[in-house]
Amino acid sequence: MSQETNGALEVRDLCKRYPGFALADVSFTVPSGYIMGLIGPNGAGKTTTLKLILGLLHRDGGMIRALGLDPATDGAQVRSRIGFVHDEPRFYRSLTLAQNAALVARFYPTWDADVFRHHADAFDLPLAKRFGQLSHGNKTKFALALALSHGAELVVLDEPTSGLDPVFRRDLLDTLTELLQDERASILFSTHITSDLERIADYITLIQDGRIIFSDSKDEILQRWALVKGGLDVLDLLPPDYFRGIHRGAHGFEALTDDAAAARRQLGDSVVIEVATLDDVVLYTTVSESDD
Amino acid sequence: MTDVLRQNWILLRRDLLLHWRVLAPSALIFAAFQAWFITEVNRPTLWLVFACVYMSFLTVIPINVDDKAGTAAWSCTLPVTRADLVRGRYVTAWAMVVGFFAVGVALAAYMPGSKLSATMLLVPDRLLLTIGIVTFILGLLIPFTLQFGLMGVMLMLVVLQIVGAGLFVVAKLTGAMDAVEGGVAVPFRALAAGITALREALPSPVFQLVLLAVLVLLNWGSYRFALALFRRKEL
Repeated sequence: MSQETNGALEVRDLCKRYPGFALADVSFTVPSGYIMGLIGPNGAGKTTTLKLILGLLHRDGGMIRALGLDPATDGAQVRSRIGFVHDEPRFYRSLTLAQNAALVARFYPTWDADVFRHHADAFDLPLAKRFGQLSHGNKTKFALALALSHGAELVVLDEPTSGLDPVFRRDLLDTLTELLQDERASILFSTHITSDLERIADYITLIQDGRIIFSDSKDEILQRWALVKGGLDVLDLLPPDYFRGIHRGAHGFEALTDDAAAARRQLGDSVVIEVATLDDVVLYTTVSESDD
Repeated sequence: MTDVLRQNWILLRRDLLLHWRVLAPSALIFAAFQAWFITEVNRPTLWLVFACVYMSFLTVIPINVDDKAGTAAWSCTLPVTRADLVRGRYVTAWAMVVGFFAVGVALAAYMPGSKLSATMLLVPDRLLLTIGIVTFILGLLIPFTLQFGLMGVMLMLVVLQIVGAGLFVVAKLTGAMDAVEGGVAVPFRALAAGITALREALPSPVFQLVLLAVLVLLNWGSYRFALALFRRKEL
């Protein structure tokens, strides 16, 4: 049953409980034709969120609409329009890449053998080699080639760049950007390598301990969040929860604010305010206070 | 319906493609054993029982395909439902059994010196016996393997062997062999008595149809149970 949504993927109040860990009220939207980066430290709930979107796990609450459909009830239909790359790609080890691809192709009526060949050539994949003989990087490349060869409208990538060399990572990011040029596909990309997202993501969602810290456009985030550096005397004058994370040194501090404009207004020239990178945001929101 | 058949065909081809290296030698061993059996023993029912047990347990190889390859989660990201995947197991298992059975019947019919013939095997009662034994084994085996995987099957076989051997030793030491033998035989005798009573109560064609319907229902029940187990699984 199709239903109008605001984006290619809409997640609202998603919950999943495990002993010792809970994904709580996770909400975000991936607009059609854009790349969203899902970032967060290990164990934050990124993979759990992606598995819930794919219907591999059962949610305890909330709503998911992928391409207007609910994966829990229209799973096969949703998955025929999604390309997915697992963090540890697993295919049939005893079959060659060509045999694995032929096997996968049968499941997708929209499979395009020419597109697969194009990606296989571009990724330099040894199609005659058995999957079990590949390196981790080549396994990921193969999974990507498959995910991008059936005209997926939503591509979901779970840590696709981990274990890949910098040259291929750059090529992959270019491939994903090209994929968006027709503005048909949307991409949800989980990673802990935030520099990749600074290059290509339009939206960023930060998840930590199963909760969303923010989900916004990258430009808005980089404009709003900032690194503040100053002397310890400044810090003593501020309320303890003024910053989102603080690193205290012997002579000064470095802290993260989620309201750069207010910090500029309130702290003036007593501090130095710099643009925060996504790495800074993840680091300071993960470890709220640290000392040298 | 066309979609279901298409998915089943895709999954069946996948399973056969992945396992032909194991299934081809197994088929040859099966054929060699059958060839020896039918030239030496003139017992069609015994032949059927041996063949059914062999064929049914051999299906454990393809029905554990995802467990063995670690691809269960990946399979569930394909555009198929969990029902498709479970049904695929049953289709593959039954297709294998039918294939092996056809080999056995062909050998019985055409093997020089065969003491059996196709007409001995392809009679309704023996076909029902075949379907019954296979249903019993697959009906338990498929849900079990979906829930516990290949290691679970291995463990179950080991435990059954230990329990069987232990029971035998205890029965021998305590002089309770007759009681143990009687206890083990009770459910089988009850089943046989039930079938005999049904046969006496019904004319032969009706009895055969009823029995066939019961076996189809048992397969359906096993499939629904396996599906309920697999739907609950988190991958």
